[in-house]
Amino acid sequence: MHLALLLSFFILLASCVPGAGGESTQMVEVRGYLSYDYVPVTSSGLDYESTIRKPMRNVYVEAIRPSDNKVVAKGSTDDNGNYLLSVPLKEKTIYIAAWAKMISPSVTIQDNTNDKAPYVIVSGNYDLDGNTVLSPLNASSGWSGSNLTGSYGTRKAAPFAILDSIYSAVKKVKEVRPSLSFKALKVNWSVNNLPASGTISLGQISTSHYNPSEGELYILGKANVDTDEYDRHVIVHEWGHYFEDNLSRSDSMGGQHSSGDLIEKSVAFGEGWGNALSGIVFDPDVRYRDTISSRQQTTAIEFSLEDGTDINPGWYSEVSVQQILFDIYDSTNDTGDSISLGLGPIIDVMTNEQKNTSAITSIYSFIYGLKTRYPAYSGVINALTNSKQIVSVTDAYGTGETNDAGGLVELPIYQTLVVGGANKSATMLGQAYRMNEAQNVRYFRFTAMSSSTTFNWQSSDTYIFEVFKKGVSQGGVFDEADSADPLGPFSDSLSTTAGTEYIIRVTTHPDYLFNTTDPVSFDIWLD
Amino acid sequence: MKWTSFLFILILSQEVFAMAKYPPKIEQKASELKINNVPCKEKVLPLKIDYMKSGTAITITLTAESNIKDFVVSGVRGIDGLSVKSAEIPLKSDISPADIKSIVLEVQESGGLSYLILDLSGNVKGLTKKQSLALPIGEQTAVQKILAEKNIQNLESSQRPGGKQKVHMMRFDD
Repeated sequence: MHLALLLSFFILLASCVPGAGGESTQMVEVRGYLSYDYVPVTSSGLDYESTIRKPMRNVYVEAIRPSDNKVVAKGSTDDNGNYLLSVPLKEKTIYIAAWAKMISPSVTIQDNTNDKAPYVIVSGNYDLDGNTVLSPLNASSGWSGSNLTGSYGTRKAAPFAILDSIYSAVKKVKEVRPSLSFKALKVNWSVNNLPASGTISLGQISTSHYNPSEGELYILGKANVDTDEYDRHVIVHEWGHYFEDNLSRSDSMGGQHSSGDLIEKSVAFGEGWGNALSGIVFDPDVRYRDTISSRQQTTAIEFSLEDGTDINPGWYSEVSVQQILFDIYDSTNDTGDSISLGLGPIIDVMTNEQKNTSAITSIYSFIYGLKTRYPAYSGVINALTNSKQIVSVTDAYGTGETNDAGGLVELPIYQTLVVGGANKSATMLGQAYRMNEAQNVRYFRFTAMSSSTTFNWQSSDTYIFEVFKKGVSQGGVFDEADSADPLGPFSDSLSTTAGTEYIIRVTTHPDYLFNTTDPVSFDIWLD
Repeated sequence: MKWTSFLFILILSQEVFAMAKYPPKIEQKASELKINNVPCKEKVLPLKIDYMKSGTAITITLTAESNIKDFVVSGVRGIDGLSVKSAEIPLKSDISPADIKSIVLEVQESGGLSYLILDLSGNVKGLTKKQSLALPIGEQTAVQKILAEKNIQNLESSQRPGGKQKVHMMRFDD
């Protein structure tokens, strides 16, 4: 028998609270239970035939008077899906509205194809005459039929499934670091959201992603194409980007990425962090799965956070990053992994050393922060990074790294420039690689000597360079010269702070290169 | 005849740069220069996709951005009013950077905005990957817009803290 039904034997509870005019208002406590359909994710897609009901946890609930739709009571469900609302005794009839939102922390699921309207699901009317325990309410998945022949009707559970995955992530983090507070988050989901480029308000969102300029998530929802509402590791992965952007720091260039890529180190860290966090949140379900296609019966991506294949281990591999982070968390020892710190220390480093590093955020800055906090663990941390062909980390800059991916990426990770010193040269491989691949991104670092620093540079092809101070862009150049234009030497100055370290990132965009075969050589010196 | 360029991941196509004037100067408006930094769900197949619609015929060109083994178009279908009448689909093959595969389709539209869906798979760097993607065909009509808003309701200002609010309203089953 359901808990909510057991509660029906409770006695009507009435109390008095002061009204606005000083008169007392008699209140009655109304209870109920809310759930949503959860569809499990398997190696062969969504398993509708194994759908279960899960409690709506920490969901904002209102009791509403039907005659004029006035809110007469409000509150939130607990971790078991139960709500308790104090309703004025004079209210004879109410209905319940459950919003796909949390109050603490503030998270709202909204429809980006309908003016960002928040999702709300309402009950029929309840007669409160002697009835204080309302019947359980469930938001259905809308699926009818078998996995192979069924189809969707109205997908009422979807926004609540997304909200619940985010609540799982919040809860996991708060369990170890309860004092953390989270910035309000809007999550855009629609049955129209699909993997097409174009107009966001039509649902053409390209893919599930975090938009840092808005601070909002976008989640795919188009049936028979790509839905992500039940792909809970995908949801937490994207929430991980929100966490990184708001509570830690991300210097990620963004853009496309895939396991096996040699990816720019900040992109690799951000993507690996998101993946690792998804496994940590749903531990022991440590298999990341992403379902697609007709009836959502295809699992496009599946890997284990614990022991998945890492075909290109190193500082440029999101797989290496995710496995290192997961190994730091988990209590299972395996190759190179004899450390089990749990999530708390990871959060501490993310919200402190990683957030404040002078370097670009990467596995180096994270590991250096971890070793600074836990020097006694240096040996086991070295063993862990070494198992992923990453040097024993001695600073946030990857000094001493020897893994050049078989000669595909240039070392050192950062070249040091001295104001008034010699020029330094970097080589990027150009046309065959994307802008965010490690082959096309080079870094320099320098300490400013005065309030202005003069940059001098020349290149063999088009380039982009950008100057950062602790991850904040100070300015830069995107040179889209064609073959007839000179490519330097050029010179320009930038305001700087004496004694402060700056990072210069240089990259090339393959769509703008006029030489499609040769590597790009870039020289820079400072005055 | 209309060519539509569809970059496989929109995110990269949304990059906003401050185009350098000659000679280039260090642009102070970092927000305009900043390389697009939108992190997204893992991409599965390195492809650039263009498509051309002429009457009821659509020609899609898939250009490999890196090596893909056993590349196969496992499905081509229409949704939201688009139906595929016939399709010439390339055979399973290995493709290399700059290799182009073409898909020639005959479709029937019911008007308005619809989508052509491609189901793709292949092996990249030893990992088998699958992806569905959507190519928009046509423009949304007023009728489609009304249908899309069928669950949208306005809650009146007198009943809501913070004023009038538009909500996507659903009903519990039980």
